[in-house]
Formats: sequence, C-alpha cells, structure tokens
Amino acid sequence: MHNELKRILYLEDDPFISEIALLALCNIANYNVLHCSSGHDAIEKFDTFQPDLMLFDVMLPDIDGVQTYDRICENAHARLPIVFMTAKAQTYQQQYYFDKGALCVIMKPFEAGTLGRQLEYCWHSRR
Amino acid sequence: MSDAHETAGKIVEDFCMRLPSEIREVSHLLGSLNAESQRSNEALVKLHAEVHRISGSAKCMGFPLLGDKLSDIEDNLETMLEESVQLRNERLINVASLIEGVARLTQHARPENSQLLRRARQKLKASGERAGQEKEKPLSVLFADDDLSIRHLMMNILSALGIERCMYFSNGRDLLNKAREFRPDLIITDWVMSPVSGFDILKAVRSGEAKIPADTGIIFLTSSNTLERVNRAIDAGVDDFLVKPFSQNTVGRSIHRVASRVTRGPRQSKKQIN
Repeated sequence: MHNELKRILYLEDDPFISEIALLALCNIANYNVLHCSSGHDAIEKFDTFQPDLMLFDVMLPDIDGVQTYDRICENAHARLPIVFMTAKAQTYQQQYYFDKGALCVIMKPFEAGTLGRQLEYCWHSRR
Repeated sequence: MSDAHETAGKIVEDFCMRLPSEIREVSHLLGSLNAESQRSNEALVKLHAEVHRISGSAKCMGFPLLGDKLSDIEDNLETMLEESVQLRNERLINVASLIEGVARLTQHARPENSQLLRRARQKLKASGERAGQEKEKPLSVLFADDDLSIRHLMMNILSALGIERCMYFSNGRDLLNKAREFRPDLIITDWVMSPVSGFDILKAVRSGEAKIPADTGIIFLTSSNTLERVNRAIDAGVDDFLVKPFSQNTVGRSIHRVASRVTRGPRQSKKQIN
C-alpha cells in the first residue's frame, strides 16, 4: 500500500448515491475508485484491486458493510484501513464502527465537493 | 467544476424520474404485507431495506424533507420487526398513511428543487463573480479536541459548511506546531485539554508566540459556561464560544460571526459579562 492515498474500494448499493460519490472521488478528487454494489462483489474483487482504503456503506441488502469488512480482513489476515458511511450514526453507533477499526465515519448526506478531502484527512489520521 | 455540476444535474434528474416508480414499488410491497396472513419477517426486512435505500438516496440528491419522511417510515418498519402481530397490524395503518404522504411529496422532487444542485449553482455563481477580481482565499481552520468523536463530528460539520481547508488535532501542542506553516484564518479549540489547553493556545496566539497574526479568530468549545471562566477568556481575547453539544447551525453562525469581523486592528478590550 502507498503512503499517498490513490486507490479506493467503494461499496454502495444505491445507484444514485454511488454516482454522486464517484463524481466526487474520481472527477473532482482524482482517485482511482472501484465501485461494488454488494458485499459479496467487494469481497471477490478486493484481492485483484488491492485498494489503499475502503469506503463502505453500512446498510446493504445482502451482507452489510461491517460484515463485508470483517470477511475481507479475515481473508487478508490483517485489519485494513476503512471508512464507513451511514445515514444513521448516533454516538454509540459511531463508537461501534470505531471499535471495528474505522478511521472515521462519514454521515449521509455527504458533501460531494469535500468528500475527497474528508477521505484524505481520514487517511492521514491513521496510525 | 461546471462539468461536474452538469453531471450532478443529470444524476439528480435521473433520480427524480425514477422516484415515482420506486415509491409505487414500496406501496406495492406494503400492500403485499397487508395481504399476507402472516406478517413475514422476510417481506418486512425487504421493505425496510428498500425504504432505507430510497431515504438515503433522497437526502444525498438534495431532498432532505422527503428523505426525513422516508426515514420516519423506515423507523416504523424497524420497530415492526420487533413487535407482535397485533401491534404490527396497527402500525401498518400508520405506515400506509406515511407512504401516501411521501407519494404526494414526490411531486416536488424536481432538479430545480434539489439542495445539492442549488449549492452547486451558488458555488458556480460565486466563482463566476470572483472572476477578474482578486481571488478570495477560502477560509482555513485549525481544530483541536482530545475527544475523537468530537473531532469527527466537527469534520462532518465543517465539510457540510463547505470549509475545505481544515486540519484536525488531538492536542494543543500539535496545533500550535502546525499553525505557523498553515496560517489559519480561524482556530476552533476545546477549552479544557492537557498539557496544552485551549487557553494556552489563545495566549500563545494573542502574544505573538505562535508566530501567526495575533488577531487570528479563535473560538472555544466548552462544556460549561460559568461566568468567571467566560470573562477570563473574553479578557484574554477569545472571539466566541461554542457550548457542547453543538449543531451545524451554531457552528456555522459562530464561524460567520468571527470570520466577518471587518477590522483586524489591535484588539479592543471587550465588555465583561455581568
């Protein structure tokens, strides 16, 4: 993995939200992003794509974002950099995502113009 | 940026065109629940997931009211998953009524009403107005709080306010070390931190020790606002306070107040609060 954030694995099932996020991350922030619309798809493509960072929606129709992350980390035998995105994040819920290893939790609706910078900050805040 | 705006416009337009059929599908799923003799969990889970998705989508496309109404339905459906059959039957009537309300709201879901596109248009307009004039420096903020959840909350708030040039620290020493290089317009800091407190940051800036303009805007975050401490901070030159818990609106108003100061001359001593 690079010191600079370049490759992002993005998991989101809603087609409209994902288009706005891809606009923000690819067109505006110039990241290399692989979008998956299901947890199983993300697990399958992780090894080939080798992202620096994962950006996962939490609530998904098949396996949720947290379960997907756990499976990927299990396969990789390591806890990997992750940012969760959710529409519902009370303080106790945020803490759950941080305990899982999240660098940060981005709440929906997100600001498309600054999403790239938010991820940049999250990336540089990792220990 | 105008290409991105145009693309965003097409995405929102697409969403608005598909929304009525998605709401009809939700009504249909709800109707099938009504028809079942058993309120199966599987059907409820499917309906809940779909409503959650559309709610998130509506909020991200710039229709917060619609998104909130859908969130209400989502909350009801979530509660139904825990309830007995009889209570579910009663709640279904409420959910059906809420969905009818949402169906009416979808008429107003048009690209011209999207807050996402409105903000993008305002940004484009503002950048157009600045063309040919001296380029205005975007606001830059340094933030310090030793609580991780507060740092993340503020990150989300400043991002939502469109403030892009920010750095976040878990302690006052790191903030002061970075300040000279970063040259912030504004510092927002927790009052009580150790070993370098917000008050220490304030003194370092106002005395010139921090090597940034002594009149740099400073806002304290505080959990309490006892009079003696507030007066002491005012005397030392703090510009404003944010009392925890704070909201995006209060943060936005405070930043606007401090950043809008017309003069940047020698700091006048402020009237004590009595």
